[in-house]
Amino acid sequence: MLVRISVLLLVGVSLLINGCVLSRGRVGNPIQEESLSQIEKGSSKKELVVTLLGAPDRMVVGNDKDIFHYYYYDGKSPGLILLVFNILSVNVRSDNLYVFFDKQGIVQDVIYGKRTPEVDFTLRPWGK
Amino acid sequence: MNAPYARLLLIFMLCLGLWGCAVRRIDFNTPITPEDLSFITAGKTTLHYVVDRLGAPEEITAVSDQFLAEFKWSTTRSSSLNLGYLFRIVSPVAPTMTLSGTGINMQRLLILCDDRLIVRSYAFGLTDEHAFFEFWPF
Repeated sequence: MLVRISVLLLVGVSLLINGCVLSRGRVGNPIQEESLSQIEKGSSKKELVVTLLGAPDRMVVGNDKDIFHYYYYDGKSPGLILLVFNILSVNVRSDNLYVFFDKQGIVQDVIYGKRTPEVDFTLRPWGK
Repeated sequence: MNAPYARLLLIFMLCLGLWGCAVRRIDFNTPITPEDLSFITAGKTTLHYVVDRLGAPEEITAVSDQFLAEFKWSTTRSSSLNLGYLFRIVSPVAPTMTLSGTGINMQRLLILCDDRLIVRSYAFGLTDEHAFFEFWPF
């Protein structure tokens, strides 16, 4: 009896996970919050920012300011590939960091937002 | 026809209907609604406060003596139906005859700030609305 239940359980679990797909993709490097805490408005220079965070992914120049833009994308993708029907979901979130410098290359402002902790493996092909 | 056979036939027909069906969805960032922006007071609220509530914009650009912060989010829905799967009933080789459609609902919120990063105004971009399922490409 126990063997029969075990076999049935094994077959059941195999059938359930059959066709399951879990995938993950990332773009860029995660923004290091320890490095970010070392940047001080009004005193830190461009050199320090580049040493701590590396070269920016994008640069904006205007209004007597230079802006360094760093970004990081994280995506998780669950899927179900069945014999007759396939469902796939891809959930992507972004982190963005902007460091504003004045003409002398001193940090004037830092804007940072982190959304990547929200990204999950929820399979939701329907709904809003 | 007795009941068990009718039930079997019904399940078989249902499987036929779903055969070769695929549904895909891509979500980029969390949608922002006009209600989410009710806390913004032009001339008072700072971009820092907006970022604390909504996350950071995808892009900041300099426009004359102001800064433009652009928030982006999207939902992409794609579905396909491979009619060639039906040939699997009668043939070991299934040809491919796929009807497929994709709809990308790209949405944007633009926030205009002065050089001290205080919000001056904001506006939503026009929304694209596509159907949940678009099998018919014509």
